[in-house]
Amino acid sequence: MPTAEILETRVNTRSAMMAVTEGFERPRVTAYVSGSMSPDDFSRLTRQAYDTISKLTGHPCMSGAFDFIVSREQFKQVINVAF
Amino acid sequence: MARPSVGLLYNQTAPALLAHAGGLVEHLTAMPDRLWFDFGRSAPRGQRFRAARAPIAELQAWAEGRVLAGHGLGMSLPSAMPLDETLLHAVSAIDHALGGFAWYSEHLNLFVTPNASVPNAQAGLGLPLSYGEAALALLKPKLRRVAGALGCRLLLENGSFFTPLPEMEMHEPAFLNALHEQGLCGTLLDLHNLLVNERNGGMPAARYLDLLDLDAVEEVHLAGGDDSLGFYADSHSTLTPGVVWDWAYTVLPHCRRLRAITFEYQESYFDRIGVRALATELERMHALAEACAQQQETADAS
Repeated sequence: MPTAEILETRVNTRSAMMAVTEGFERPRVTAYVSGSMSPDDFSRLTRQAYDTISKLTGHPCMSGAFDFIVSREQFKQVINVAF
Repeated sequence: MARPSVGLLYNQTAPALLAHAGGLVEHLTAMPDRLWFDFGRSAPRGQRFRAARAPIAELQAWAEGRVLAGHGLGMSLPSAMPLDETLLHAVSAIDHALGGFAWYSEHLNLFVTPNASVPNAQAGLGLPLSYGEAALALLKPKLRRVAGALGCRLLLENGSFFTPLPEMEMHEPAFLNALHEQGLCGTLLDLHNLLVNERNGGMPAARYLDLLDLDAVEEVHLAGGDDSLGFYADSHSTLTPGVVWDWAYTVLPHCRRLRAITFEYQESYFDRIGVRALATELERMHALAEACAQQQETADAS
């Protein structure tokens, strides 16, 4: 098994966990991420959130407005440790 | 009727399609709601909306030499609450930044509803409207206000739903006809939404099209969808289904005020649909636009 290759893939892959909750004035999608985020990371994450919302509601144009929260406070679900 | 233009609802993958087949795209429709970050009504005064500068600049570049229209997603005009003036101001700012929309459309759906202690909560989904005189009275001042603020023609789009409302005072075509007759707005006819609603228990599309005043129709949307959890969803995940093309060829040549035919696809399906298939779809739309123009020439001559 090409262990080194697998490890390299893991190192280069970033993960986020998304959760949909009720929110206050709007439904809320929260993305939990680890570490710092570049503008490109943020752009990829917002695209994924838009896609998730569209597919959950079945309407890209008629999902209304959601709050999108990026949280860097919860790590336990998103850190992969390879050893 | 001049020949209707052929265009696209602009999204983040549209530049790739425009680079491949830009000559087939005569107009673009921009969604202002996707060109800003909205921090909500509780944001400090003047800080609710932040423009997304890079996407605006990119759209400006692709809109050069093309007609540009606006397509709003969230004004929720039929909601029984005051117009969101801050949101309207943000739309107006995008309108100015992009050089002015040729026309502007919104959905004939409710997005903002009372929810528990929150008087203006987002439902998370476009909800169907109960059509009647009360809804007309509610819409009138808002439509006048929006058209005045943006200074362009206003259209309302027939929405899609997962389940119809029973026993309404009037049906949707009559409601759209009334809006047109009273000079409040034109109709953006989404033909795929008719398929969605027919499949989900609403009025058969053929009957809907018989009842609709075709002189009200100024823009048409084409799109595709798919089955999901027992419903048919307006997911914009495919090319336009054959039955929708059939309706388009039957009805559009008789829409004397039709100015635009617009294709909508969801950007995350871009790779699956494929750029060549999208270009072919645009070519089919041009053939449809030609058929509309020829029908009108024949009608004018006779």
